[in-house]
Amino acid sequence: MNDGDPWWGEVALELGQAACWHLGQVDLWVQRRAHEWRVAVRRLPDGSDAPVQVELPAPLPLDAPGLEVHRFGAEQTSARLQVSPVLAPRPVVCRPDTPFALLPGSAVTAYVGTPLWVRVQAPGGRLLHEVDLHRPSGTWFGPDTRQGELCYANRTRLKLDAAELQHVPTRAITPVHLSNDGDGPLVVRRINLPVPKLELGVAPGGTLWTDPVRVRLQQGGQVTVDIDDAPPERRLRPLAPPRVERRDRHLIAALADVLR
Amino acid sequence: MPAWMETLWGKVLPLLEHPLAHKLGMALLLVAVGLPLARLVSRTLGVVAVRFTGAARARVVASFSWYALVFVVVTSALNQAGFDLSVLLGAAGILTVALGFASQTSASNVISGLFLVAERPFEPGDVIEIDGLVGEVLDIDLMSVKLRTFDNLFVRLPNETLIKARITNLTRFPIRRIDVPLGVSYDSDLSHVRRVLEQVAEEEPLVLEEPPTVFLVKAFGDSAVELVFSCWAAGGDYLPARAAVFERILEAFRAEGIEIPFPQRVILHRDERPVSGD
Repeated sequence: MNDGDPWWGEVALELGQAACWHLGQVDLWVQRRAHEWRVAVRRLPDGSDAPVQVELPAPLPLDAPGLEVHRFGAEQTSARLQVSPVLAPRPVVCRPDTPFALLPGSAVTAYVGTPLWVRVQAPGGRLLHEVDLHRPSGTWFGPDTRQGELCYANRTRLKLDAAELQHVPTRAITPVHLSNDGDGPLVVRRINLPVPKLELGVAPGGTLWTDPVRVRLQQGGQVTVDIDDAPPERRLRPLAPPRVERRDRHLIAALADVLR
Repeated sequence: MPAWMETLWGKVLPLLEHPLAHKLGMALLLVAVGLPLARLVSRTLGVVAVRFTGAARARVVASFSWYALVFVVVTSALNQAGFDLSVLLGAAGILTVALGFASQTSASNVISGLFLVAERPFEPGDVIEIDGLVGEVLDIDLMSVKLRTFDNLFVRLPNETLIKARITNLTRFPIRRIDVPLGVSYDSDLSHVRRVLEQVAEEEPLVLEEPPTVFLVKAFGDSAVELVFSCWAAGGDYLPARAAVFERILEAFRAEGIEIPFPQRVILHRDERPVSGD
């Protein structure tokens, strides 16, 4: 893998051969055998900042401490294997470094790095395994402990300046357009991003982006959430469709459902 | 036709032409058509009820409607056969009283079952606690609720006992609080203890970031400052999260030199005398 090459895509494995993906805090091996695939995962301690690279061939260190091995039987394994990034299966809650108030009549675009999962698929789209690349902790988003939904808590913060956001190959960037058409200030403490409804794509520079999310506070206090198309200068090449079918790009939510 | 058959036919024909035979025939026809129809109607009701109430309650609806329809078919058939229903129902009333005394428990279970079905304190698949017994609800029917305990025992609880007992549904809400009662020595720096506990909750992936953790000083005990630390986990992760938090707290306290005191007793014997130096 050369610098700038994507870590995802199709790989060819000979019988008995294994490949390794070093993806930040996760090392992932896939080995092809005559009648089984072996997928092994090793998590590195938090804060490990190993460079992202693909090793082919790579020995499968079965005796390495902390290695989780998953085996998948098949009548016959084929040489091709697909490894791709996907977005989180639950909504992701993110917050700015410190809460901020958006003044009435103002609009701003915030950016956040959303965590990625890696999906390993055998030919024919058969799912072998999915691994989270950042082990996000869970969180609860709702008005009380009875109503709400289980989400993932994002460790990266919402930035109002795109330049402040670090491009990490194991995260996708989600632009969040916030606009306040209401009468009072819109205080942003936490935002619940409907990540399973977003599409993941790759921009011409090779960075991963999701569909932009537009959150608008209307007069009367109602909040609308829309999923936008990526701007023309960032024409995304689709990588992973939304996990959850979205019938409409326009989602209306009460204030409590999106911002808290 | 042989002579014996002619004789037999001669005797049977007047019986068939008798009005009573006609009534009995109609009654039998009612039963023959009514019971399969009742079965069909009760099953259809059950299928429709599944969409609105779930499988367990639909079974109750189906069986209750079946018994009600059987009662209607049988009383109609008896009426058709010429029985005086007022006498019959009077007798049935007396019989019901007698049966009621004899089967008080069963009747109580059935009525309690109907209340449980209407009130819906739990569903099949929920985990409930009742009088110290914790288990997963397998089935709810008119007479009893069936549980599977976590040591894989099958427990049948009569509905009558459930209606009177205090039931805790452990899986009704999606998230659950983990309370950790703790005691630290009087020499401990409580703000340091608090930071360590919050760090533990932050580092454990099964603990939810929100709702926030709670740190409370509960009491000044005999040998320790008694604290309660609370954090939240998803309902399905409750047990592993609780075990992980307890384990991590112990490790973190050891690493940070925070002492968890244990009760100490100084025992003095009354007859103990100082040893004289003379």
